[in-house]
Amino acid sequence: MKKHAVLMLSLIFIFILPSLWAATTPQTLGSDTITFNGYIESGLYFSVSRLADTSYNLLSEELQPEGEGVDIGSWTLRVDNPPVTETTFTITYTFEPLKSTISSIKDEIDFILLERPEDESSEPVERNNIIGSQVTVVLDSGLSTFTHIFAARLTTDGAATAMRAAATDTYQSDITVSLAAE
Amino acid sequence: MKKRLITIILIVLVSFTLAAEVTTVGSGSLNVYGSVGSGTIAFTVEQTNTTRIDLVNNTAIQPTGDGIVLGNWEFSASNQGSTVPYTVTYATTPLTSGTTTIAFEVIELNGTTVVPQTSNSTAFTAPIGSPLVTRDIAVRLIETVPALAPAANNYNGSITITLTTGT
Repeated sequence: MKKHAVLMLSLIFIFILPSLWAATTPQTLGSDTITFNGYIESGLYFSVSRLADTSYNLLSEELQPEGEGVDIGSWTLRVDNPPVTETTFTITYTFEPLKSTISSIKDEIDFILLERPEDESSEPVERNNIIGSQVTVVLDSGLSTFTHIFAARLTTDGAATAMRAAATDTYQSDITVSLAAE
Repeated sequence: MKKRLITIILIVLVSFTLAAEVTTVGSGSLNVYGSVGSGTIAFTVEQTNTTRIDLVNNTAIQPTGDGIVLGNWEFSASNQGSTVPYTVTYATTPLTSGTTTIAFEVIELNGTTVVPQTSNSTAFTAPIGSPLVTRDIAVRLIETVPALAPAANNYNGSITITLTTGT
C-alpha cells in the first residue's frame, strides 16, 4: 500500500514538474537577426606651410650649390584609417626658377629643393620638378603621420646667374606641393 | 327557464375547455458548451534597411546622432485571456573587419520615444485580448571610429532579437 502511494506521488511529481518548470522558466517564443553593415573610408589630411617670410640673400653661402640650403617650407601627410591594402602616396613639387617681379629684369635663377624628414631620420634628398617624394602606407600601419621639411639651394647654373643678375629684392618663385595616391 | 338553460350550457362548455388544456408531465434541459483557445502568438523581426553605412562621415550613426533605423519587430497575439509579461532581448555582435571591432548600441523607437537599450533588453506586458506591440530598431556607435581603424568596406555586425515569456 505504501509502495503504491510512493509510486503515485512519484508519477504526479514527474508529470507536474515540467509544467512547473515551464511556468517559471522563460521560454523563447521567437528570434531573428538584423545585420548592421558599415564601411570606413581612409581620412587624408595634407597641409603645406611656409616656415618663414624671410627674403634670402641669393649670394649667401648657405644658398650656394655646396651649401646646406635654407629651410623654406614643410608638408604634413596624415592618414587616418589607413586602407587595408598597400597604398602609395606621391608628393610632387612644381616650381619655376626665381624671377623678379619687375618685368624688365629677365634674370632667371635656377634652384633645387632638398627634402628631409622632420625627425632628421635620413639625409636630405634633392627634389625637382620631375622627382617627387613617395610615401607608402601599408596594412596595419595604424595612424600615420609624415612631416618633411624642404629647403632651397641654388644650382650651379643658378649660382652663376645670381652672380651677374640685377640687384633687387623682388626675386620670387612659387612652389606648389601636390599629393597623389596610387 | 331559458336563461338557466343557457347558463348550464356555458358552465358545461367552460368545464370542457379546462379539461382540454396541455398538462406538463415532465421537463429537462440541455447545456451548450463552447471554448475559445488561448489563441496564437506571433513574433517577427524584419530588416528594412540593408544599406552599408559610412561609419566616419554619417552624422546619424555617430554617438551623438539620432541613430539609423535598420528594422523592426512585431509581437501580435489573439484571444489572450490574461495579461502576460514578455521580454525582448538584443544580442549584438560588434562591427568587425579583420581583427578590428567597433561597438554599437541598439536604440528602440516606440513611436517617437527613443530608448537606448543600455541593458539590451526591454519588457512589456501584453494585455488581454488581441494585443499588437511593435518597435523600430536603430543603431549608433558608442564611440567615434578611431583613426587607427583600417579603411574597409566590410564592417559587419548583427543584432539577434529574441522574445521570451516572463520578465
